Formats: sequence, structure tokens, C-alpha cells
Amino acid sequence: MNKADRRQAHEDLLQRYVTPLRRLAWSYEIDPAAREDLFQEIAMALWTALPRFRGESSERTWVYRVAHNTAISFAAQRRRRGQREQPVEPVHEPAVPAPQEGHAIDEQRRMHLWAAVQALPVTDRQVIVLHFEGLSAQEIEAITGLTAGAVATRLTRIRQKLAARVRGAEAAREERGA
Amino acid sequence: MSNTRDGLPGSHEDDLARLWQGHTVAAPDQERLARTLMVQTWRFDRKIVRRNFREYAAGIVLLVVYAGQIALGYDRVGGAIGFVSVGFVVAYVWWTHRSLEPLDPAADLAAYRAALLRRFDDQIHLLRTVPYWYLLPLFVPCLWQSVRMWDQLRWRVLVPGGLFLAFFVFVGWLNVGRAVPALRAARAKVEAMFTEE
Repeated sequence: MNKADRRQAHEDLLQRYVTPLRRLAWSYEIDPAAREDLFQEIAMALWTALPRFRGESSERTWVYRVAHNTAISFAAQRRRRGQREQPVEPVHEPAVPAPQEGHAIDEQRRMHLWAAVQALPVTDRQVIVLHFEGLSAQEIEAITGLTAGAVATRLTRIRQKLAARVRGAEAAREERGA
Repeated sequence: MSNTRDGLPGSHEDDLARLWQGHTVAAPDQERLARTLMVQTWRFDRKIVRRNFREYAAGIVLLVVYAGQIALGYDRVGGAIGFVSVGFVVAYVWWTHRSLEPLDPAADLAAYRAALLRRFDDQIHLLRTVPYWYLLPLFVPCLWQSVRMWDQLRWRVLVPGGLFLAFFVFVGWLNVGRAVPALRAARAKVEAMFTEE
């Protein structure tokens, strides 16, 4: 692969995956600056790994594997440097503006969901993020190394946990509002 | 609880995946990115200026020593070789950085990005060529000293000569083998930055 082809392939990849990769960075880093750093690290890792991509797995599986591995290393580096994760609170990020009133409620629930995902252990976070992004059990298996059966078991548990946390956060908010 | 796509467990009343995918995390705004790049460029410039300052300071000290050596008549040839070698290195460092100017604070994101990439390219080139413009000229006075000591030490002169050589090879490796790849990685990171959604 010559440099021009590589550059083009890299740009195409980033364009196709920019939204899910930003969501992935969001799930790993609460601090906006660190999140942007992580996104750049992922872009850089994809650039480095691109010549080694032989199409043995699907492009999507490969992109997520690179991204998750990078995110885990990035988080570990930050921990080593003493930049520990901040306590998890629902953080309101600039999002696409909601044009209708009903969307505001969705936005609240979404923030609770993000906070709940960020509070999960790393492996659980990986599994649920990949599932939310629409990857199959086999693809999650290929990325995380967990068996498809283990993925299914974990997903049941994680989703119950997330649903309970989101409901709990909503209930708390309603109580505060009442 | 029922099974959804691909046999994964799910529930119909559970809309967590829909919530997740419905959120389009916005890219950071252009102004914040420009500020980030401006800070990065400023820090990079500061590192270069500090490193150059150290080089100039060490160079001036050596130039004074060599000038004194010439004036006092102690090994005039060695003094002249040292003066020219160190003078060349100091002049080269100054010459390659003579156009380094602070960026216009009103410049836009593209200008900062281009400026930072240009700085990376310049430093990569400078460090990649360290063996030729830095190590080789500075090795010449060391070589001269070894030649001068031949009468006294004979083959034993290879010991200090070998140590000098090992030191210069190590410095060359630090620059070409370590610093250049690190700079290339940092450059690629800036180049890959800020993909628009």
C-alpha cells in the first residue's frame, strides 16, 4: 500500500466510523480533553495498523478491536500518570440539538445511560458498547476474546444492571423535581 | 426477556441500544481545537527555544575555551579545529531556526495545524541529520586529541578514542533512533486530528 492509498483508506475509515468511535471514546473518558486525545490516539492507531489489515476479519471487527485496545492502553497510561478517572456523574455534552420536547426526556435518559456505562468495569463496558453499536455475538467474541456464550451471559447481566441504574437515576431526578 | 438479533439476550421493552445510538457526540468546536493547537505549537516552540539556548550556551563556553587555547598558544591547531567545529554547529542551529516566529494569535485552525506540522517536519529533518551536522564536526576535535596523544599513549589511545566514539554513537542513536520516531508519531497524531463529522 503506497502512502497516498494509505492516506485515502485512513480518511475513508475515519469518515465511516467517526460517530461510533467518538461514542466509544465517550464511554472510556469523562474528561472532554482526554476524550479528544483518545479519539486522536485511535485515529493514530488505525493509521499505524492499516498496512497490516489483511481482511482476515471484517473491517468493522478490526476497527473496533484496534479502537478498544487503544482505549484500554490509553486509560492504563492515564492511570499510571495519576490522572485517575473522575467520579461518574451524568455529564451534558454538546449533542445534536433536540428539535422536539419529547427528545429532552430522551436526552436525560441518554445521559443517565452514558453515566451508567462509564461506571461499568472495562470488559463489561467493552461488551455492552459493541452490542449497542450493533455487533453480533460472534463479532464481539472476535474482538474481546470472550466466547459467544460468555458474551450472551454478560449481556443479560449488564443490561439488567444498566436498566436498573437508568430507572434509579430517573426516579431520583423525579423525586428531586417533586 | 427474549432473544434479539444473533441470539443475544435482550428485551423488547429495553430501548437502551436505541438511546445509545441516538446520541451523536458532537466533535469539539473549531475555536477549542484552534486553542488546543495554539497551545501545542507554543509548547513545541518553547521546547525548541530552550534546547537551542542550551546548545548556544554550551557552544559559547567551548568557543571561549578554544579561543583562549589559540591566544595562549597551547595547541593552536587543536584550538582552531575546535573553534571551527563548534562554530559550525552553533551557526547551523541558528541558521535552521532563524525563521522560527510566534504564530499570529488570530490565525485559524488550518493555519495552526499547518504550522505545527511544518515545525515537526523541520525538527524531524534536523534530528535525522544530527550525525552529519552535529556529531561529525564535534568528533573532529576529539579525533585530533587522540592523534596528539599518540606519541605518549600509542595503542592505548584507542581506549579514550573508543569511549568518545561510543558516546557519539549513543547520542546519534538517541536522536535518530528514539527522538525521530517519537516526533513522527506526534506528527501523525496531529495530522490525523480533527476529522470532521
